[in-house]
Amino acid sequence: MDQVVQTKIESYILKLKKNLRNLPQTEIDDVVNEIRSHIFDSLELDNSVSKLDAVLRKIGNPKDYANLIIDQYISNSFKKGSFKENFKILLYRMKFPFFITMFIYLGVFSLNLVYMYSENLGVSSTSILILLALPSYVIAILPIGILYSLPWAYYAMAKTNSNNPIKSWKLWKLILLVSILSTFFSVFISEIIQPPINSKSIEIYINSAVRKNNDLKFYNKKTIHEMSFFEGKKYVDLLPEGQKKNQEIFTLYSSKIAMYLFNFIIPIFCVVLGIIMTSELFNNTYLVVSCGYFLPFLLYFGSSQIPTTLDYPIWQAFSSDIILLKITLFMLLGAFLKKEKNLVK
Amino acid sequence: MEEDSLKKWISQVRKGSLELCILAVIKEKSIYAFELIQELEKIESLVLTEGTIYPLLKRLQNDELISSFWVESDNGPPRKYYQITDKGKDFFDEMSKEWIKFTRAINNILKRSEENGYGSSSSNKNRVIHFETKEKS
Repeated sequence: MDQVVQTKIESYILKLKKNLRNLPQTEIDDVVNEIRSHIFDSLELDNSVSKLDAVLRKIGNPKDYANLIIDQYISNSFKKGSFKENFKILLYRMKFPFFITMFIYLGVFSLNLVYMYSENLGVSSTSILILLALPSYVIAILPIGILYSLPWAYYAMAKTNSNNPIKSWKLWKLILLVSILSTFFSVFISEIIQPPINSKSIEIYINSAVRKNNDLKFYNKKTIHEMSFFEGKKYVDLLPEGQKKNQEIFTLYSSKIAMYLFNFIIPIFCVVLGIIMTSELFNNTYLVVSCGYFLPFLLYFGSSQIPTTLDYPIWQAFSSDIILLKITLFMLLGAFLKKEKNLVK
Repeated sequence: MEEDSLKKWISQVRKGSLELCILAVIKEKSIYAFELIQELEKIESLVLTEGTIYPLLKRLQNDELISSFWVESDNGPPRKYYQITDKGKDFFDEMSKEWIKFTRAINNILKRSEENGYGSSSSNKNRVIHFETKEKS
């Protein structure tokens, strides 16, 4: 066989291997060996470069072909694989949109903090502030990250299965695991990591020149939102009876419990979205993005009474560029979905 | 526009019958994918892409309707051969029965529409489709 032809084949195979890298090695070898034999057989009567080009064009570019193989692998594993394998596949499918969402949100919030405080606090204090604010942002955005990634993962696993995916206990087990993990994660961050961090943040604000600036409000002590549940309970118990105490009790329970409940419910809501996507009742993009747009505000901030949280510097950062964020995500999702749609056909 | 819709519909019909055709060919003899594609293209000028065939073969294998084995080749890379399993044979029998029922029903509808004068031009006389299937005795 011609050297040019050989080189071209090997280059194609290499690209194919690269795109299949997340599959188990046995699977990769199987696919690669079969396509290699296919190409060899195709060139039996004519092994010119032009024939090879035609053959490779018919197979499709390595990325698209690999994606078709991966989709089928996911579907097959879902039917036959163990719980652990399926969970790995779910995470694999969620990886890309999840991290993009988290990255963009965290990026914008950090930039906002830089914009608001770097002049007064200086670069090093602002950097510390950003680091300290990260856990709060992460647990706030976690449901949104899941919302933008889990429906696609569900869709990938359910779409080629002829059995009714809603009735699949296998699938529900996976989703419940995501719910439980996400809830525990937010509880851990909110109760253990966040309170001491928030104390430190407040220290930085108090010791800075920011308090002289009337536009940027801050609290010189913690509000309920920055306390852990037990800290908050202690604080509320010590308050004198009256309207303030009742308000604070409501804030304590609604913001903490609502957040944890929200983290638990969002993955289940993603299944509903995934089911609607699988049934193709509504256009995918419109559905997920519009839910992603409104839902966090409705459920999370509604319960924590956004007006008061907006006073706290961290949430000021959260609210200011939210529309820009959503538009960016919308565009990214659109591009991502366009690719997915082509694969479905 | 109409031609596009027609092409789309034809492609849908072909996709729907693909599994049956593949099992029918594999049932006859052990075959490797490249040969399978050639056989299918001969029978129905079914132009299949590799992106359709290979994932489908993987699915059929996962469903235990076919099994595979590798055969070393003297002058090239090893080939993956497919053969039908017992489960595959049974499933194929069920599929063929359903296919015959289905095509009979469609043929009846078309005959009726012809008799009732739907588009009574002579071209419709050729519209009753005869699918060649081997009836199981």
